[in-house]
Amino acid sequence: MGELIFEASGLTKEFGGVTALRDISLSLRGPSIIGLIGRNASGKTTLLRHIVGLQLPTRGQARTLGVATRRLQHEHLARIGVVPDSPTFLRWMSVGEQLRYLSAFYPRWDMERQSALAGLLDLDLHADIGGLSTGSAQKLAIVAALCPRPDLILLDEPVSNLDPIARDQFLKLLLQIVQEDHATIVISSHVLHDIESTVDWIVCLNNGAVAADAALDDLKDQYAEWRVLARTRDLPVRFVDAFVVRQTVLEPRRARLVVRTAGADVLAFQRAHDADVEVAPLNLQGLFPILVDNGRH
Amino acid sequence: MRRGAFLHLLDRPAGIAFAALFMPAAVIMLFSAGGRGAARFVVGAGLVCFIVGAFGGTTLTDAARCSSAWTLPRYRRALLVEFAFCGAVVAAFVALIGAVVATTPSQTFLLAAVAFAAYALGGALFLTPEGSLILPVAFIAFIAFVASRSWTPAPVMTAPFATITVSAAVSALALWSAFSSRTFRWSAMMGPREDGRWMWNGWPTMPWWPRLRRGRAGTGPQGVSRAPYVGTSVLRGVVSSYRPMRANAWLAAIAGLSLFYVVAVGSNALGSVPRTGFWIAWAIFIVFSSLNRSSYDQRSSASRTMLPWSRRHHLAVAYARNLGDLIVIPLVLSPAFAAFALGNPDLLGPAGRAIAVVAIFFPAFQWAAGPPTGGRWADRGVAMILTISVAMGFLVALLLVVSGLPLLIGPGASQAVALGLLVAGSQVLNWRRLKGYFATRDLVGGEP
Repeated sequence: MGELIFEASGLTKEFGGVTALRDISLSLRGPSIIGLIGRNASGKTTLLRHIVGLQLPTRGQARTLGVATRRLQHEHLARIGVVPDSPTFLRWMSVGEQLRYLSAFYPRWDMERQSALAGLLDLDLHADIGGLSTGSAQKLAIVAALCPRPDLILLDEPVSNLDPIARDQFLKLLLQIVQEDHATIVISSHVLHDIESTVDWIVCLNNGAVAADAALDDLKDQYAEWRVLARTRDLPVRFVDAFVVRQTVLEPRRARLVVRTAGADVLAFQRAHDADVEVAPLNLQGLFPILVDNGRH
Repeated sequence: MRRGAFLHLLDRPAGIAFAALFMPAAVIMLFSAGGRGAARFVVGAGLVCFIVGAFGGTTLTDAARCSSAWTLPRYRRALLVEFAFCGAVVAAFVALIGAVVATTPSQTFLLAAVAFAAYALGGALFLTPEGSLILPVAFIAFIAFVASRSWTPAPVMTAPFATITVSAAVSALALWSAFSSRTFRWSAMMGPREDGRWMWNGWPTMPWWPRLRRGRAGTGPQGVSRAPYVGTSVLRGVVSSYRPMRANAWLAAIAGLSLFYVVAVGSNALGSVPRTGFWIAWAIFIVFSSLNRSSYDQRSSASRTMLPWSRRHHLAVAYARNLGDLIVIPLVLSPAFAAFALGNPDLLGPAGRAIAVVAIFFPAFQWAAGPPTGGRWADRGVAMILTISVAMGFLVALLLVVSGLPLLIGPGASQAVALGLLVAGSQVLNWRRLKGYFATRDLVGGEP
């Protein structure tokens, strides 16, 4: 068991009549890369803001780095790097000036990493911030968040505005940082295909509640895709087996099922339906609707 | 190497321009106030320090709203220390001038305490969430209070202990409020100030003020309603563009207007406000109203580009909105003005001239608030210099026209014709400017 980075217990956040987070109880441990996924308005950004103490719970407890989030001090904040979904900087500064300005506040600002990251992400240090594109502003936010060598890195949709090359490099960089700094990274993203190769833990939110909180490998082990091809007779219009989670009958004799592996017996299924079954692992993209549905139920 | 958190933010064109434009004027004003006695000097010094603090507050607002501001370790503390340090330097400077021209050595500490409190208050009103609501109300109250015949600043000097105690309390409260974690949390959540809001802290969603639901059924992009409005498509565009105004903007406007009415009608009943004070209050209120009116409801075409409008249509809506702003504010104020003028019929002439000056300058305020097509001024410093220049030009013109025009052009009818021509001229210029913008500039994200 690694260090407890964030702990929530009965965390609820309400904005007027809207409940953004519902009774969330969660423990995030590091070093690891945690994928925070969920549909739009599921509470991902609100949860990230609670981790860094930017928003405070309406009810319940939230602790980051062992401290109640409302009591985070400078020594804790120095250990946290944040890339918000819409980063904003002082428009009248240049990129280099902004980084110099920020670096003065961090005891562990890594100038070598700054140069390396700027080169890797193709970020012009002389460019005016006011003229940066959305993607370049995001790159600047990434550099600003990673150079202090933080122990906890919160990334809110960090790859959404990056081009494919920068996105690929950035994701490789995350793995490198976890190895070098033993950092914990919480990455919120809709680009599931990209983060799948990076994250080792998944927290899925749905309507402000935790729909899944498990290791990605465990989740993948729990579900599988069965490609079914009937030999002699048509397949049923609807499979009633308890382990079938989702089903798509493509043709009378061909179907694609998502099954819960616990309790699913391939041989028995083959015999019952006189069909061949090809078992394939489920990727995160395929898992996502199931996790969201679990949360809904 | 944490020095420079605040000082570094001042070291840019906007800060240099402010120092170059305002400080000489402030020093001249202080020397001038010194000739009227120590009490008047203290009030003048307070006003100068308030403005300096307000400039610091606007600078800090930009920094506090950066996405990295909340997590920067020791950032709030560094900003607080440097902001307070600057305030102490300004207060000491003012106290030094006071010692030379107005105050006795024993009054120096009192003067410094008042100056620092005014500086801290100026900064706090621009940083705290409630500042935007309090500031216009407090400003009018201050002007009305200072301008009233019955008020004298003498107690400031005769009760030094009370003055210093109150100043210290105000300073502490202002600094605590401006640099509290609550304020910085709120700033980080608000994001950057929107286009044209170079000065105000936005019209914020204050934490304690619930936002009204804006996503009503039948609402199109950017709050542009699809509900059938009566009138032409231009009129529909103008009317619908007022809809996204936030509830608290209305609240602030109503609060400011209410106070204006109290001042105008109340002073009429009591006869306690001298003419100059009233006109200055009125003029400043108009200045700030027009600046805000121009900025807080999305006036640029960028917010309406999802609509199937030609550039010509955008131009027509933009001009109609500007004209609407020009007409609405005097209309809203006119009952209070009429009530005041009934008791002071001799003020009808000056009032009419003052309104004409507002009308002449109104397009300039709208221009200074930001490009009409889209985007924002490339440099906040440019926007600030532009706005300060326009505001100063306006105030000078107001004083000249209200007091000097009758000497230059005798008959009232001739004055009306001359001012009418100037109003029409400013509208023609405004139309030509808008036409140029909408013909040649980007509708979205364009820099001037």
